[in-house]
Amino acid sequence: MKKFFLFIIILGVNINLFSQKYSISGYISDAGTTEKLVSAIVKVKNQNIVCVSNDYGFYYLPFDKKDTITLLVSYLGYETKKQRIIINGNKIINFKLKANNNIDTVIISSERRINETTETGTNRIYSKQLFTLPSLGCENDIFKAIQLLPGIQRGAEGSNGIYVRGGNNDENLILIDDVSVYNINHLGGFISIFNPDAINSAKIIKSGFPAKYGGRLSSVIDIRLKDGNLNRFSGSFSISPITSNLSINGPLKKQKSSFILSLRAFYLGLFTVPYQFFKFEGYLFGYNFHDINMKISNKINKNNKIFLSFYEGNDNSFFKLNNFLVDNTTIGFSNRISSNLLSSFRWNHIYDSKIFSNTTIAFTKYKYENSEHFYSTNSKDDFFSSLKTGITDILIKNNYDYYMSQKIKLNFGTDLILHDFSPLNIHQKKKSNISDYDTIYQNKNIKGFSLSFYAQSKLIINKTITANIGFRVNDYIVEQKHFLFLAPRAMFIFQLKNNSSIKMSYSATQQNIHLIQNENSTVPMNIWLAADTLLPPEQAYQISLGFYKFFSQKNINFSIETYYKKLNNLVTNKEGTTYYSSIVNRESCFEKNGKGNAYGIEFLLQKDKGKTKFWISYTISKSTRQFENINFGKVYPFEFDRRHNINIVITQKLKKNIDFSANWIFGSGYPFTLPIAIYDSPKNLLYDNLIFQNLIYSNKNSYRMRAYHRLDIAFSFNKIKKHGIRTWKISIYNLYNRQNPFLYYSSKKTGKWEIYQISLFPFIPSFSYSFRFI
Amino acid sequence: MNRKIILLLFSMILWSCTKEIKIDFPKLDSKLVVNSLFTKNENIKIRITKTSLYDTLESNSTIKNAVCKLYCDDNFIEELTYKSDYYISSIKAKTGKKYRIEISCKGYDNVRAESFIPNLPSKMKFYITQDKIFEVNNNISVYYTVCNLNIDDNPNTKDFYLSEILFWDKNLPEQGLFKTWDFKTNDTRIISTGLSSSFLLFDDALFNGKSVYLKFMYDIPYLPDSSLIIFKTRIITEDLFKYIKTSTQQSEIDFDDINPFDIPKPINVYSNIKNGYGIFSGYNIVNDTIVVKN
Repeated sequence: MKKFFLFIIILGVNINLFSQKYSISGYISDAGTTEKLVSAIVKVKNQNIVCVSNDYGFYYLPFDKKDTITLLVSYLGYETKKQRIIINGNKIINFKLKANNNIDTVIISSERRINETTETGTNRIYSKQLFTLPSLGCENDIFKAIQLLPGIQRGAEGSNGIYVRGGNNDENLILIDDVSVYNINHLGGFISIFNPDAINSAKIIKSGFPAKYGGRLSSVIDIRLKDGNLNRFSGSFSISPITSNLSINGPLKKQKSSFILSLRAFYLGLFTVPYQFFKFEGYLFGYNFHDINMKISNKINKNNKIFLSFYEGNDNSFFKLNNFLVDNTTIGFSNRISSNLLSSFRWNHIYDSKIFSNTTIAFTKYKYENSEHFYSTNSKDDFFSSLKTGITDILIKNNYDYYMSQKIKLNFGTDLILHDFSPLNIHQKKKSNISDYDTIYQNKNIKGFSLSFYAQSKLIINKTITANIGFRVNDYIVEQKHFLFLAPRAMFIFQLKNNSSIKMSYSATQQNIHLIQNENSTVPMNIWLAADTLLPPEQAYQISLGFYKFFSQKNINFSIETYYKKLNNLVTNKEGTTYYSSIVNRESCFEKNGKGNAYGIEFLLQKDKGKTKFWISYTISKSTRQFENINFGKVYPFEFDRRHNINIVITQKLKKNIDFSANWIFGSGYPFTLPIAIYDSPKNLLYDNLIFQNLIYSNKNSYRMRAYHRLDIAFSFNKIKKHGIRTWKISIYNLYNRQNPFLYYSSKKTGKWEIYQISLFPFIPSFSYSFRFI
Repeated sequence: MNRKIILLLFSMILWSCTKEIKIDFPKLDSKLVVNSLFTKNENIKIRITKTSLYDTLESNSTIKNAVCKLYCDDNFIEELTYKSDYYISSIKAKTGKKYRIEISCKGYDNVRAESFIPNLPSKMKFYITQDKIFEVNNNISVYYTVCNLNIDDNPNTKDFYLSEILFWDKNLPEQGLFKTWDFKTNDTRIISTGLSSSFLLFDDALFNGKSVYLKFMYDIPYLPDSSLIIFKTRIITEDLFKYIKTSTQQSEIDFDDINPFDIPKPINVYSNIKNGYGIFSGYNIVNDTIVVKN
């Protein structure tokens, strides 16, 4: 560890040798909303000097000598700003860009010409586009939009499952303003916890992970929340068949501090309760959820900004019993609560204009609790049970961007995370005339400590070659055992002629936590387990190679990207076990030391300007797993291995105030295991002559479900009113009523074994109303 | 009217979106199924049937026209004769010998398997240490007896055990022997390798070559004085251990009462029959009897 610090010090000394005398730096923001613009392009006219604003909207351009230049600042969907500047010192210039059209939409986008970015496998989604895409129940959901990206599989229909390049659902690092969140689902996964009114943008990274990200194997989903308007109050509200949203933001002190408050509530339960009351006399069930996002931003001076963020979300389902069937005297309730609590303090500081730092101190907590209490009104009978699980993190992050020269930018920092795992706590208590008992089953709470150092340098080697080289060292300590992991990260870009480029990347990642989860479950319970000697940390290694081209005349980006990913130390349930059995019997229900391979090719054709915008992606991929005691040790297809995947997304401005959008999704069938034959076997060869039937299953996941496809459309009718913009949105999910497979299972309903397919979500129309104050 | 439309919309979203579709099965060729467990000083009896398509209702009778050859230590012994659903050897099995069968039958792939009778441990003794312990199992009150099984495990060999408890009620002699259906144990030496069901299945991975007391409980039936409690432990082969473990795990999945949102991961039953299914294995046995004194 001492050597590492020495390396950083030496690096810092050397860095100063490259320091340049003159510079321009500052923030780039939206002129109307004052929101920071991430990945905006700052370019010196007629010179090959360019930079991109960082995740906090900050940019820095160094110069060797005094000069007079013209700076071009551009951002997708905004008017390009041109400004003449005399370079004679270290200048701070903040740019405010005007949006082209407030009610225009931006389709899923790479932030720049796809051939110019120094990233592979990275896409960005902006909040505006969420409001026009078709959706189930008119619920605008950022995770549904992410599922339309190449290389990402959806999981079960309607759910927010994200399976990136053959990885599992728990392998995604999901960050809200730099803080990881553990449960992203409401309503059993059909709606994500992210209120679209609170989101500024989201970046999805599938490969070539920058060194500052770590802790998960397959992807980073970096969501940035809005800061709030520094100049004036604004807001929005919307009503859909399922939820209501309200968002307000504005200055606390003009040009200095701002706030944003976003609320969302599910109210369908309110309508169903009266219906049940009359239909099912004696008992009642219900469900509701809510989200609260709050953020306060304060600009202390030109070099210091602080942010306070808070998120609280809660799912609550209940069942109440009053004089129920059994003896007409039993009453009681059961209650399930799943909640996220997240709060953070961030400090952005600029040192001498060329070092930008972000310090985050945060707390994030996920908790699930299921409690039941039923008792008799005329006897001693009384039963109580509760089940609790959760995880709490306290984290401190320091991240520095050091703009050393026009050709070198350094990013380095530290992450410290204290995990507090509470895997399972079950309490059961019963009183009756026969007997009483009071038992507690508890997995011991485990504390894990993760300490990471990282450094990465972006080097412009010459006009055609740029490199991003770095590493991340992680020391994970649990139960006095150290798991040290060195993760090299590298990315190279080779600029070709005619707006083309080739990019390649390599990254290694380690995951110190495991998730027990049932993708199909309607119960929103996730159990996070600490990696330890029994279930060691999972690891992944990925290489990626791509060709990128921008067709300037048509304004179209094209890319073809291929990847190979190797996964080690994977964990899964043993064969013959269920989700619930693995919860209570950890030692005997898991297979460990699994291996995985994933590879594929992703094609992307994208147009994000003009009246017609579209996004066409095709992915051909394969993902496999291998465990010693599963499938007799043979390699088998991963549960969410999908050979072909096509997403076509189109938005069309039909009239000035009418937008049309459609998406067509096709995916070849997911694999599953099918019982193919039976044979007689004496049930108990040793004791009796009863004949029992053993099932013969196919090799694991050797059969495929039917292909999945559907077409969704939406119309948005916008009208500028006195105080803002009103939008009616009509959306139709599954326009041609395709019965897509949700899951297959076997049953003896008719006396012989048969396989059944369950389908969800037929043709579903929906509508919503929203109003944005401007 | 508006209310009706809203209710209709809600209904569509919540209750009308599940549909079940029947799927056709793939058609596959049948394979031979061979089942035989043998022990010392007994004839080897083999039952031969065939696999059937998953969606069939046909009864699966034994195959009578197979040719079943028996080998001992790689020497051909005899062709087994078919009698009352079984192919039976004329010789009696012995410990320390390796037995192999080769079966051919027109229309099926030839199959073969081999096994042996494992050696007994030097000591195996069953003790009742505490009677009538109250426990709650699935909200039902159950009384258990706490027991110990003392084993001097064979050194340098991987041993596999299968234990069960049988009862003989003196007041109901016509009922014959009946067995316990509920074993419970928290002993990691048992649960880390095997399982507890209507029997205990475990191996010696955590106590190889040692003398151990394994603790477990079984549910108590009421037995009058002079009734018998018979504790049987079989020393089985690794093949039989895997077969019982996987077939038990598979049979514990109740497909008629399945929750489609928590479907167990399917498990194939282990087989040591090459090109076929079933089990061919030897075993050894120790009985320990306790006379009930209330």
